[in-house]
Amino acid sequence: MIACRTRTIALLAALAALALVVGCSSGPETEAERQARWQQGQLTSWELEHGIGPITADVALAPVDAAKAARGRELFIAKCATCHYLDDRKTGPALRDITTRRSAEYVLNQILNPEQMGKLHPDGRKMVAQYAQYMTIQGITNDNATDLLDFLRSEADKPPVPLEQQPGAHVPPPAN
Amino acid sequence: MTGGCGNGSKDGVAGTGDAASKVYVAPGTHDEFYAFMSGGFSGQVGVYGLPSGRLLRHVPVFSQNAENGYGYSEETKNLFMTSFGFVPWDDAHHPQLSQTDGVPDGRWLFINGNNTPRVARLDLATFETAEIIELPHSGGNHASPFLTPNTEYVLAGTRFSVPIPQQDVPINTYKDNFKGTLSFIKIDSTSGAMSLAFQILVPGFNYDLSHSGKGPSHGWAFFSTYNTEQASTLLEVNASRNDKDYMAAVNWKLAERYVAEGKAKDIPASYRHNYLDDARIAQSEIVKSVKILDPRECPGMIYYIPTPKSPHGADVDPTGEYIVGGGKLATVIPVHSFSKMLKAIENKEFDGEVDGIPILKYESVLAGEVQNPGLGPLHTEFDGKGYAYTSMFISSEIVKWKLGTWEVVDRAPAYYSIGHLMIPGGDSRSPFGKYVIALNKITKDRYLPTGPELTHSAQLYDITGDKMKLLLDFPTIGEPHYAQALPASLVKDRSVKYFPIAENTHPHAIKAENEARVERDGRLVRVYMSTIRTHFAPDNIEGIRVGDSVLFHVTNLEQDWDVPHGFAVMGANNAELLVMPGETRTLAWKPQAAGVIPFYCTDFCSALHQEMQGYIRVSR
Ligand SMILES: [Cu+2]
Repeated sequence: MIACRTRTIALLAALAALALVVGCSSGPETEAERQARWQQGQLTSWELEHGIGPITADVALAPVDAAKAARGRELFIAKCATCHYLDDRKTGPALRDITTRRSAEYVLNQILNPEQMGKLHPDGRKMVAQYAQYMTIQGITNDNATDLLDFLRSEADKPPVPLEQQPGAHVPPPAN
Repeated sequence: MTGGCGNGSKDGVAGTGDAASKVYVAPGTHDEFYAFMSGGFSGQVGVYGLPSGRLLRHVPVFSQNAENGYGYSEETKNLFMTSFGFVPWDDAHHPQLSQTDGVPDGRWLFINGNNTPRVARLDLATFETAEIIELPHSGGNHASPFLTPNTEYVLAGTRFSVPIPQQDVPINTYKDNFKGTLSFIKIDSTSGAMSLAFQILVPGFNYDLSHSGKGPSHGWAFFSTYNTEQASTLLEVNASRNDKDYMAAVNWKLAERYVAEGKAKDIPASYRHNYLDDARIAQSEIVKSVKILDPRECPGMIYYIPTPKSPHGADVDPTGEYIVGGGKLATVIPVHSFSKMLKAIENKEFDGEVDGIPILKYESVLAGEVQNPGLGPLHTEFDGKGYAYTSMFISSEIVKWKLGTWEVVDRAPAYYSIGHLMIPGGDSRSPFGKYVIALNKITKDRYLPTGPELTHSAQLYDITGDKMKLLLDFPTIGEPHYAQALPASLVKDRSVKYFPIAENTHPHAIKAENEARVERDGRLVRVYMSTIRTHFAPDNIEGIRVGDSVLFHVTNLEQDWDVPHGFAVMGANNAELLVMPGETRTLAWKPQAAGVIPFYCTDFCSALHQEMQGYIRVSR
């Protein structure tokens, strides 16, 4: 039996549903309680949609900030392009349209909490099974993650480009 | 239940179930202590958890280590440079933990290279060798590396005296031409960097072991000597004639002052100082002179205390008052008194001198003798509760005795031939106690046989009660001459998990995969390569020609704990690499024939590790 506590923001509805199953006590859920619940595989419907990690509530999305997106691009090249192209599969999936396929909160949680997303989130587990690999921890901070998010949002609607034009792509040198 | 005839049956293990529970560290939980054991002739350091005896790490120090390319990679080769050239092995004896206020502080571990005289400093944030300094005017760097209480200096005495400066002389002119030195290596209190501050020229005896004073005796250091007969042949007979050898008492604070006053002479020398720079690349510098003090010109700096007989240990108790000599061939354990020594010096209670060094009267300095301790007293450590524990090599036992009354209160057999022993913090001002560990030379029937060579071992005894209780024995690497241990909490929280890639200043690092490339400069080809689970970039390399020199600069772009990648090239004539997260390491390779050469990751990093591979095409 686990304890849940009433929360504000978007979790209210989800927790109300959970409360029917697990019972309820007052006060906000502590981090330890949340971790224990995740370990037991009891994810709220919000968490099923938006992932588990430091982002636990809806994020208010401003329009894409060009400066953040530019910083995010550099970060993508340094930290993500080892394993992701925008338009082709690499170690992990292509990412151009990720922000249209997944919520901003999910993307942030995946970047910031890849290990638990791969182990404890059902969609994350599916990805690990498909790519035979956990996403690597790259030590990305919250601010950097929102830069990356804006970069990915800025790319989402653009048409695909050849491999050598994709950011950070390592293109093998021609034989000589 | 305690009584009963089934108890204490096997080799003095009182209640085997009880002993097992005392050393049981459940899966996923941590040991209470780190123990650092010398690898002896392996040249390395073994890191064990106590009380479990689990081997945690094998840190390469004085010997090349193919496992991770230490001493083979371009970044680490220079650590092995000496005035004799590249010396990729040594015999490492005495680990010493850095101290603050006389207590281990968990920052660095020092250990001596005995054969080609060197001292290494390990950084306990990374558990790797960060620096090695060579000692000139030395032969057999055995009385080394012993620390002063605030890690002001590392002390190092020569086991073998040699002509200083080296010269071609008949060996039987030993008495006239051979000298010893006591070296004082200054330690930078922030970085730990070593520099040879000065040496003291001493008579040509064998200087065996050392410890610094503490508390009231802070500012002094003590070195045991043997072969005061100054024999140069058949030492087993000729160096055992004198009834007493000496303990050298050195006032290092005064020596420091003499150096500051300009009493030291700058003597030409040539020795190497090797260290990892900020880019984690080993640099090697040649130093061309050293300051030397001559005791004849430095009154009050050094005295000899007669000590029976061929002493090994020179061990100072936690209060700093008692100096215990381990007289290997003596029938007693002699204990000197620091306060009596000062009085004897003041009253000039001398019994002659050697080369300007006054010899104090034995009885004037003696605090007491432990009578009938056993055979072959070697080395003593302390529990901080008023007791001393001495290893007895010949009678193969540990003897516990009381400071002040000198009475033996307990003895426990060791299996077999105990050399040094160790109590966590047992040579410090404030021992952590709980256990004593016997470091044994011979194991014979203790383990499953493994051919003619058997492992050496350590044995763990509980010392929390009146009687020592044997709890465990476990195999060790090489020969564990000496060991040191400290509470895990002093080390584990400072442990580096990975190297931030943004701070990697290696000139051939790459910071992102799209920087991976191959660059040619004449016959030199540099491959800038990255690793991440689960591929190399580049993984197909063409354009290499027979006769090229290829440098693979491999940067591991991982930023997660415990994710090194390996790099191995078929037919490479040196080792493979193991590259830590965020680090760059370089393998040099000379392709010998046209063809296509595979390379791969040697560290099972992920499910697709077997896919982590590539090819190099070599053309004529
Ligand atoms: Cu790998």
